[in-house]
This record gives sequence, C-alpha cells and structure tokens, in this order.
Amino acid sequence: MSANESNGAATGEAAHGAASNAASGAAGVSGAAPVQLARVSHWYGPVIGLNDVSLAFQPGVTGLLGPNGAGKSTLMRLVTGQMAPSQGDVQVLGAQPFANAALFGRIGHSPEHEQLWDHLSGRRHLFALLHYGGFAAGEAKARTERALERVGLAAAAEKKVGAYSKGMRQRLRIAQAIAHDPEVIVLDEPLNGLDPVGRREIIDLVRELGALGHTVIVSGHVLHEVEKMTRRIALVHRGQVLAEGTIDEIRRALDQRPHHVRVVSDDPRGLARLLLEEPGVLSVRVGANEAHFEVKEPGPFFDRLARVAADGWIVVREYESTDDNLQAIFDYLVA
Amino acid sequence: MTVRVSGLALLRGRRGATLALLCLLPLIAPGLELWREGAGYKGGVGFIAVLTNLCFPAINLIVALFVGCGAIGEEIEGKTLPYLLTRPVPRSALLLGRWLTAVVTSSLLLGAAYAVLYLATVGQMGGEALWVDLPLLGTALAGMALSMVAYSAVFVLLSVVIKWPLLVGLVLLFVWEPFAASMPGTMARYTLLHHVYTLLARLSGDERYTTLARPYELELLPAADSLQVLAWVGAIALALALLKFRRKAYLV
Repeated sequence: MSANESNGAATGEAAHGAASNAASGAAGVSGAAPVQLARVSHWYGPVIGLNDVSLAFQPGVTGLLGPNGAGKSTLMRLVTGQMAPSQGDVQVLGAQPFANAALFGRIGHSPEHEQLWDHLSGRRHLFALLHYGGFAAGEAKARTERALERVGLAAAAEKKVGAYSKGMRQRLRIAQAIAHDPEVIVLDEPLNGLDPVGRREIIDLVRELGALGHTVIVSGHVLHEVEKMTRRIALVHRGQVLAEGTIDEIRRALDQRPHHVRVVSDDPRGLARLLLEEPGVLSVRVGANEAHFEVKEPGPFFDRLARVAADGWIVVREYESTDDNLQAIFDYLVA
Repeated sequence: MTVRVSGLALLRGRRGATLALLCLLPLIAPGLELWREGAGYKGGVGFIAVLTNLCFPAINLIVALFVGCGAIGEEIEGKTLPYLLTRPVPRSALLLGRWLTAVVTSSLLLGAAYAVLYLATVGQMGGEALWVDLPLLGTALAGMALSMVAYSAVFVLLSVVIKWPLLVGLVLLFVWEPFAASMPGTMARYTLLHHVYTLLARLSGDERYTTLARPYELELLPAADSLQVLAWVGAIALALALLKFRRKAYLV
C-alpha cells in the first residue's frame, strides 16, 4: 500500500467520525433519527454485504453513494425490512423493520430492478398495491390518481406496464413508493433509465419530498445527480460507510488533505509567484492562462487571492475549488 | 384483501391462462375419443376411466404442483416479491392468501371440467343415469379438492424451503410415488395418492372406484385414517411453510 493510500484510509475514518458525531448531535437535538443503523453487518454466506455500519438518517434527503456492489442495496433492504441484519440493530421510526408489517405503511420503497406486473395497466398496478396495502377502494383510487399525476404518468395510466419504456417503469416504481404518503422513502437508483427531462422532474420530486419533511434515502452512483438532490450524503464502499454528513462537513473533515484550487488569470506565472509566499500553499502548477494550487489551509489562501484580485496587481478572471464536489470527495475516500 | 390481489394477479397473468388450460385437460381424453370413433368413454365406467387414467394420477398432481410452487414462486421469479413484502400485510397472510386463492380457483376450474366430463360421459346413458351416478361426481370432486389441498401445501413448503421446488416436486410425484406404490408391503401408505384413492373408494362405496387402487396394489385403510393423513400432511406442510416464510430474506 502506498503512502497516499494510507492517508486516504486515515482521512476516511476521520471524515466518518466527524460526520457521525454531527449526525448524533443532530439526533440528540431533534429526538431520535427516523432511520438508524447501529453497528450493522450483513453477510451473504461468506460475502460481506455491510460491515459494521452505523448511520443515522434525518428528515430530508440523504444520498447514498457508492459504486455497484458497494452495499447500498443491502442497506436499503435492511431499512425496508426485507432482511434482518446478521449483526447490529436497525431501527426505523423506533421499530425494527424486518418483516414488520405494522411499520410498512410508513415506509415506501422503490427497488433498483425494473420488474413490475406487466399484464396490468399502470393505474391498475398502483391501485392494486394500495388496495392490497389496506386502503379502501375509493381512497386507493384517489391516491392512485394523485401519485400518477405526481410522477408524470397520468397520460399513460391506461397503458399496460409491459408496454412502458424504462423511464416510465421507473416513474411507476417511484409512484408506488410514495402513493401511500410514507414517512420514510427509500429510492434505489431512482434516476436510472430516465431521459434528461425525466431526471430533472424526479430530482425536483425528491427535493420536494425532502422539503415536506419525509426522510428520503436515495441511492446513486452518478455523483453530480445525487448532488442535485441533496447536500447530505453517505459514501458507501465495500460494505463500509467511508463518510457521512453534508458535502461541506465531509470536506471540512478532510481538511488535513490538501485542497486543489484552479485560478484563471491573464498572468498565472505572476500569480503563482505572489501566492507561493503564503505559508499554506504547498505547490503550484502553471498552465497557459491558469494556475493550479495545492493548498493546506484554504481560508487564508482565498483571503490572499481576494486581496490580490482587489488590488488589481494581477487580473483574476475566475477561481474554483476543484475538489469541493462529490466526485473529488469520493475519489479521495475510495483511493 | 390478500385474496383479491392474488386473484387479480393469478387470473390476469400468463400463469392464470396456463392454469386454466391445465384444468381443461380432463376433457381431452373423451374429446379425442369422440372425435376418433364417435363414441368412447361412456357412462360411469367411462367417467371413472378418465379419472383413473388421466385426472388423479397426472392432471390433479400437475395442477397442485403448479399451484403450490407458484403461490410465491411466481413473484420470486418475476422479481415482484419486494412490492408485496414491503406492504403492511403480514407475510403469513400473503402466503396463505395466495395459496388459498390458487387452490380455490384451480379447484373450481377443475371441478367445472369434471362436471363437463361427467355430462359428456354419463350423459350418454340418458337423463336417469345422470341422477343415479351423481355420487360418482361428488366423490370425484371431494377427492380432487382434498388432493389439491394436501399436495399443494407440500409444494408450497418446497417452494419456500428449496431452490428448485418444481424439479423436486416432479421427482416426488412421478418417481417417488409410483416407486413407493409398487413396493410390496405397506410402503404405498407413504404416498399421498394412496390416501386419496382410499378415500375415493371408501367414500363412494362404489366398486368401480376401487379400480383406481389397482395399480397401487392397494390395501384400503379406513376412510378416517386416510382423511387424517391428508389433513395432517397438509396442515403441517403449510404451518412449516408459513414459519419459514415469515423469517426468510429474499434477494430479488
């Protein structure tokens, strides 16, 4: 293992610790989090699906990020009560969810796979599940129409599900997860198969659900899309949670690692000379009209950069922290 | 509630069509015979012959296998089980509801086919024969329903416990049962069909039904004993299936 890899692991632990503490603090203030996992492990025979995971999901949207096979779906199955943990404790709305029928009316789940009852129409499909779930026919019918409208499927409601496109099937899966107005909503890869317009609509819907106070757990591996839905994330990799919290919290927890800042300027060489005097600047790489800085403490660096720009010594056209996004954080942690 | 959804899924799906076709099979033999010779299976003897050769040793069993393995198997195969498992309905109600719906539906369909078969065979002997031989039909329907319950309960258990229930079920039906029945001594009593045949012969009191027993070298037990065996096997299999299903994780 290289030195970088060692650092990455240590940083990951630091981030996890900081974010978990933040989560615990939040839970302490607003009461118990609606979804909590305490030292949860799950294994499939000799294969570990989740390894000693502790997480708390607060109301609002939380993104569950990680590559395929990271353990996201295992975590979602545990939260939605489809399986019991091999070790540890899962609590949803104060109860263990596994096979807990009384709790399922308060949980909505949209699985990752796209299978549905193809011989039914979209409307019939949704109605049947609501009716089966205990709603009287009239109420189920009204909820069916509302949910179809909400996911943009009303026009295709009478079409057989077998004739639905991938995106329409995704919308129907989301509709059945939200139609009964659950408090906890678990959406496994909800943007899969959707066209750009559909993605936009579902992203808006997820944000709206979060804003309404639902606890929404949404998984994905397209990072910028998850970032559009929420700033609060949990990064899962190889069955472990590498980091949890808001992107900013995680980034702060990662401050011991250098930040990377790209500055576009008419005189990148002069800018580099000026800013290298700052004690927190570790290195600089100069290009044709931009300079890339590696910075230990971003605060003082940005102050100095602002002063340079304000004094007009050197024209600074734009600057950005290139690792302030999810992709960079994820790359740090899984490296 | 469970029954309603199960019925909906069962009757409108491909599985419903297959089940309906299977249940119509008892009509094939007399149909073919009529088409070939213009006459064939006639009267009570003809009715019992179709039951003996086709219904009880094959069709009923295949339908029961289909019903038992499909109660949950269809949803596992179609990956639609998570939608049902994450609703506020106890797992035991889900399994029991789906099994019950399938048993009742298939028994009604088979029963209708038996009734048509009865009309087609016994009806050829005139209106009075239809009335006189009615106990034959009654016994056949009771035997069919009982065997459906007992066998399908065993197959539900298989579908919950093992990975290839259809294959194991076929082996049980068409390898184990004929093998055990052909063994000397009391080995035949370890087959469900033995008890179904015993009941048919005992309940009808009709000598013609004992022909069912012949291939099994059957020593008839008292009706109550066979009834108890079928009831216990069905109840225990179902209870074990429910117990297992309540705690089983499905990775679909």
